[in-house]
Amino acid sequence: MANEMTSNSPPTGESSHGRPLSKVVALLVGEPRAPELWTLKKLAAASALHVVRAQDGTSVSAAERLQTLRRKHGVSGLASRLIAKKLVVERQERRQLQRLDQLLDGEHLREWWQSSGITPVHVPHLNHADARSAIESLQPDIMVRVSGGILKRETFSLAQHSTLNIHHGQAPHIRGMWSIPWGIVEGRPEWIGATVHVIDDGIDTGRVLWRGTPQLAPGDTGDELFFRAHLEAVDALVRVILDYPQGTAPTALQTGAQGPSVYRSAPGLRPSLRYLRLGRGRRAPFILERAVKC
Amino acid sequence: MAGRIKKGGLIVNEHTLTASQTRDHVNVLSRWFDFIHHDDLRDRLTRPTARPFCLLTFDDGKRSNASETVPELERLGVPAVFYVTTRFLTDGAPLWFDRYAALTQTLGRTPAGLEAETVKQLPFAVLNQRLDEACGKHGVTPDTTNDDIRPMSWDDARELARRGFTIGAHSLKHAILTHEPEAAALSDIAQSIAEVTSELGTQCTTFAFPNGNYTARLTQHAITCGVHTVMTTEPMWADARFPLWRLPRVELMPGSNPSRITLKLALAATGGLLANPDGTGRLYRKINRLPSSRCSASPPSRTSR
Repeated sequence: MANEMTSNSPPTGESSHGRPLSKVVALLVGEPRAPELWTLKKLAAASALHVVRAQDGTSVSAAERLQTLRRKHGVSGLASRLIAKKLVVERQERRQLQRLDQLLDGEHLREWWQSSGITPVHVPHLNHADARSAIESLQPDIMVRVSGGILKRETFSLAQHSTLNIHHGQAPHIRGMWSIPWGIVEGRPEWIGATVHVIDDGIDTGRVLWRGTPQLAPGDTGDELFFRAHLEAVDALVRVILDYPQGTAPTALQTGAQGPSVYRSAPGLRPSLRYLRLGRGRRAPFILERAVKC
Repeated sequence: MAGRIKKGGLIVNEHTLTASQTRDHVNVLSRWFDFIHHDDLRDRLTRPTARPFCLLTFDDGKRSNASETVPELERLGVPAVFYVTTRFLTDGAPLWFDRYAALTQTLGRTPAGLEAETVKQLPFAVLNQRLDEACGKHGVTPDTTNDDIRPMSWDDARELARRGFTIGAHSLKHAILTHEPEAAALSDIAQSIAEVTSELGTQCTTFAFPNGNYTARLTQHAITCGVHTVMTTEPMWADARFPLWRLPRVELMPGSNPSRITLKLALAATGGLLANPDGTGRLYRKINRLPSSRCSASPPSRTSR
């Protein structure tokens, strides 16, 4: 049951480009952090924005998730991931969020969020019946998954045009989570970047509408690459949203013959430690080589 | 003495110097080095002499380069390269770091979103937007009557070229080019080189990266735009190991006394003790151990002076 069904009164009418504004519903989980706030602020400037916010990312319990992971990775693989999460990944994530908060000027973004007049509709999780009924009542042209877990078809099919996502990695080359660090750990520059894609039943498998990569240069870390990829991806997302009311649904990129598509989930202990040894990218040989090789 | 220890020489990276600072720097450097013109750089790299060379370079294109530094250099008979930020010369708007310095001086602190460790990581549009907002909010404007802040004019640049100094390109607006989308960075390099060429009426022959940050793709692009040399800020001596598209420079500070300059030159000679002011620290030590054979674009043949 949604506990707050009131929504904001977003801007209506035309964008600064003289085009009619799309009604966009942004889906997020928990308190938005700097990267999510950056996305919301840009969306609010380019659309009639509503927000549906969930407390939890998923309806699956922690025990069920552990069962699934054990089946997928075995006991040792699961143990490795749990240890890595406790010892390395959580610290890295905290550090990355602090860094992104600085880079994205989280202080001003939070001030904007407080004064934006956007009142999120609260739901238990994004695939919950309350979330669906909230979205149905808003009748969005487009939905954007700003944060949160995997959306089910019953949820992502509620947008008139499509539901979009920013994946911080180059889909479909690399799908799943931690994609930029995976690219650093495995020496795969073609994985580093971001993708704007339509959400479908798979994970990061939907039609790719935009894909980009920041320049890789000596001194870059995963945090800075995420930051620059995010800025470019949000700008691309806004362009896609501005194009919809023109009746020009953006053309999907041809992603067929571009090598294998790899899925990676959370890292175990070995890749987490390797990421640290590589200075989170700063000492990654393939990034340093950008100084001397074209 | 230095020649017995090291082959090659030094490319010195300066920004603004008063006449007396110019004299002091030249006095210290002339003890060990022959000052050379940019056009002689390739020969001195490939055919080292007993006495090492020194090429003086000045970044940004501030008015004081023309009003203070050049008369002193001419008096001393020292050639130099002036890397100009081309739109800065055209529109006169203060460079972003001068606005930043004015802001932090006025406030006595760095505003949120513009912390020292953040400011050089931001893409140029984001950086400018934050500076506009912060300067607007606090009513801060840099002192554009100060010759260390305002630009020289294109007439000044043409006059310097006429008097034998080299004018190089230093980007359009001093964006840190590795933090921009690649297409924007490539376009910035091409346009700034084209603007120097067009304003001076002769091909621009050298480019220096703003803040020193570079990639091989960007340097190669500068070469394809017609320049013969590309400068970074790796704080090392230059010798034949370095390709012309990636030449190191040692930054000297205006207020440094002779012993401090001497110490810095000695540290630069070790090839790994100084930190690169571009923010990458000592990563250049690892970079310079990498083979660079895959970037083999050779510069066009040199035009005569």
